[in-house]
Amino acid sequence: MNKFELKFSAMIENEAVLRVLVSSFLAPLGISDEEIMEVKTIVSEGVSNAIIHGLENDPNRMVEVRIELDDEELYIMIKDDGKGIEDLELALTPMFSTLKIEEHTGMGFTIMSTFSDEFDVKSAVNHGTEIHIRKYLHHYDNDIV
Amino acid sequence: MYRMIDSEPKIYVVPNEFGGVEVKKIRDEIIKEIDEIKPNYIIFDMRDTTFIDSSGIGFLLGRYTQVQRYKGKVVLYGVNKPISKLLRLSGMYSIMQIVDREEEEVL
Ligand SMILES: Nc1ncnc2c1ncn2[C@@H]1O[C@H](COP(=O)(O)OP(=O)(O)OP(=O)(O)O)[C@@H](O)[C@H]1O
Ligand SMILES: [Mg+2]
Repeated sequence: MNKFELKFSAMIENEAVLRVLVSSFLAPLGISDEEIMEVKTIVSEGVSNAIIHGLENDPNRMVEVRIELDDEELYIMIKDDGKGIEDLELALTPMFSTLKIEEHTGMGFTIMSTFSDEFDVKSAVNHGTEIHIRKYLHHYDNDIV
Repeated sequence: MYRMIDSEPKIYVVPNEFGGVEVKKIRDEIIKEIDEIKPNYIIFDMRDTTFIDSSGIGFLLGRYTQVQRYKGKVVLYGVNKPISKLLRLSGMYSIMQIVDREEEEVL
């Protein structure tokens, strides 16, 4: 079991920091580059949403991320106490975005759920959004560890 | 007076990782340049790219829409397999010309 808990300012620069962290966290496990890329993308989409939509790029507000690895099971939690999602079903629809003007294509949630084995979003308007993800790392190579 | 449309393809090298921060860094400059020179073809060289997220995809779609206005074309060149999966999921294959990395090695 290995766990990480982080809190960081809602700045998009910090999403790139998370990517490096996720890479280093997974590198020693002997999983494929493709799977590392999938986990990085999941984290990037979730964290970007929290920063951009939830907390509206306010550096005084914080995003919370938890990553837990238990054998081959990876658990990721991404949380913000921002503005929340009004219509969750609509938000989860591919190509739906409330920020189309800024070149958001509305694919974040679709990408996240495609790359995850279990994907769950909880959100309350004016209270925030929490996403929970489970992913089983299939290409675990025990010889390398 | 009509302005001649530039027929030289314009090549942009996409960085190794192409997410929110990287898009923010290059977006405005590229949008401005495309508006100025109106290239017939834009090639995004993705041979070195190993990570992209919806911000990067949004940027590429945005440039596609931008050149569509004057009937320009966008090509994504040298896309690796995991990224090609992601682009397919986002419906990019049905609107842009995409040359995968395997195909590129044959050329
Ligand atoms: N943490 C969040 N807080 C508030 N709203 C959110 C949050 N995450 C997502 N949303 C809402 O759900 C919509 C869909 O999210 P999704 O990530 O699928 O698309 P997007 O972020 O708009 O575009 P893209 O991810 O393609 O750049 C967003 O437009 C936004 O309205
Ligand atoms: Mg998003």
